[in-house]
Amino acid sequence: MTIKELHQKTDWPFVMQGNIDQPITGIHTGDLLSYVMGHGKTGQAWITMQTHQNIIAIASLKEFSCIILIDDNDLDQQTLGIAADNEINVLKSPLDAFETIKTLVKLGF
Amino acid sequence: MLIKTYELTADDFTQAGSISSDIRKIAKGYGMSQETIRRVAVACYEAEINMIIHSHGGQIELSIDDEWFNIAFKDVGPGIENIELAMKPGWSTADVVAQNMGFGAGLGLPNIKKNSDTFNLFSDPNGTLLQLGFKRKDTL
Ligand SMILES: Nc1ncnc2c1ncn2[C@@H]1O[C@H](COP(=O)(O)OP(=O)(O)O)[C@@H](O)[C@H]1O
Ligand SMILES: [Mg+2]
Repeated sequence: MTIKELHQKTDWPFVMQGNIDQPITGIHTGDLLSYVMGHGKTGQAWITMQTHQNIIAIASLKEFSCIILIDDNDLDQQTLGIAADNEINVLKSPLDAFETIKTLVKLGF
Repeated sequence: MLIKTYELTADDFTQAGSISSDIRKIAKGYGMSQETIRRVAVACYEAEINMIIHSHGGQIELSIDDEWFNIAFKDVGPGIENIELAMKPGWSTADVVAQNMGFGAGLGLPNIKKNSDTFNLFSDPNGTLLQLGFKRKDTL
């Protein structure tokens, strides 16, 4: 499934769009950044409750396909700017982490 | 051959990851394998964050020869009190501010060691030196 298809199927809005035609190869969830650096894999969608600017650096370094914010969280202006510069896809789910994951599982992940 | 030197300011979270990103781009430019580039990115990010969170700042030096891609992280203190303890997964002296941002899981140094081909860590109260080496070509 591509980022665009995920967006269409869930109605989760885009906070930032990069290349939305790239495929999502799996899901990673984590809020401890060293854990995410150690265990996340290229192409995965990353679910996190973190919203500060360093998540963009991590998504870029790990080559995640997108970040999924939870609980309707937003990015501040500065972080949005960094996301735009790095062409990072960011969506936001209105659900908590568990319900967000359940939705993804129902979609076949 | 020294390729590039970066200056790093302590406690400046706004720039965190930018040096690692640049080093990753350079590694790509040298045609290193995807897998090695990924390891370079993880190790550099953790080392860069450690300098921001735990040190008074310093320099990061990138050097290259025919076989190796080397990165030295040099800071000006306060040093690591007990390196053996610092290497233990889960051990951290990070403050609450860093923890709330998701740093300070105590996994950085173990992650760096796991992802690098050579790993040397020296520390005293005047500074910490972390030398990492990556083989430019994967040996089959
Ligand atoms: N450059 C450094 N200067 C001083 N102390 C450091 C440095 N790097 C690491 N440390 C010490 O080693 C500990 C473990 O580091 P690490 O494994 O990266 O975990 P974390 O950064 O999550 O605390 C840190 O909590 C800190 O006490
Ligand atoms: Mg660390």
